Amino acid sequence: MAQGLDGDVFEAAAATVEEAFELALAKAGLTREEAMFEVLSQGRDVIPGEHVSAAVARVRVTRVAPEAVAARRHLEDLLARMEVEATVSVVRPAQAEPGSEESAPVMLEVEGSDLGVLIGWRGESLRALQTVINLMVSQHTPGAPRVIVDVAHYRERRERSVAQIARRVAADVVRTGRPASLDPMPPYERRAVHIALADDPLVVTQSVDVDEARRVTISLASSAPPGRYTVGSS
Amino acid sequence: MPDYGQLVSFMVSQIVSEPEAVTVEVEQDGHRAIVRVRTSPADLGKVIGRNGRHIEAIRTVVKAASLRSRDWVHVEVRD
Repeated sequence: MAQGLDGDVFEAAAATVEEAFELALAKAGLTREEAMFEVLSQGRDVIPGEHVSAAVARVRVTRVAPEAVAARRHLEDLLARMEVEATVSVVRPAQAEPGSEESAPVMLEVEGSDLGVLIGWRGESLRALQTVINLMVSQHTPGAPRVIVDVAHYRERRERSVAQIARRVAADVVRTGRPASLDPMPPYERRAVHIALADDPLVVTQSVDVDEARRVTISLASSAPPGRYTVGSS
Repeated sequence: MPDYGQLVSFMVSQIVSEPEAVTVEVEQDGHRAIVRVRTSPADLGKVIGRNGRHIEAIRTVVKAASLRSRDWVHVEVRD
């Protein structure tokens, strides 16, 4: 069974997702505030006038760590003062950092309509929100896990698209034998590049330069002599 | 239009060790506002951050909040 932030996981099944959540919360003895929700399988949509058979909604409820509850409150309070209408939920981080010794980060997902201002140019506002929330959390709870903020799945989408770019550039590097450098990226996007190419034995990735200019270079692995490999029909 | 004084005061108070020492003054003129924050000298470094990273994040959040009402807000900090 999947590990929760502190391991308290409860599953329940019912006719609809909402009922299943109610059931799981009751089973866990948790309020909505203290829980993280996941839908394991959707029930069937109820079609008016039709008898719906035994389609079952299954859900999982995980008790979230007190620091995660606190982090969410900080973000909700901040958004209210920014006069932005949105909901904040604690979600399971998409991918664990390989080889990381750190405790699992808390991930907050902000959802609502028209949240572009919270993302900003190339995610600038999103990163600022995250910086401020982390300062608040560490002031109140020293040693608390890092908080990752995502807005309207922006991070998730960016990570997927930089991984795609990375694989395309890696194919060029393998074909030409010449190293390539990607555009400067923030840390989590660089991490997505490293992860995307970690399993590729033909190339190695490395972050170079500092601050705003920090970017990933992709070069042939030393065990992969140039010109020996071909990609596609070229 | 968001209350910029309150927004800045909230962020700063939550990240310093002496929130009672935080004062915020707002000079507002239509769509332009200047927010002046003061903290205890001991907390100034925390509000500014290394290379101004923290105050820049605070300014960026304020800017994000000001976009919809097309305001221009400047945030200043001192002890």
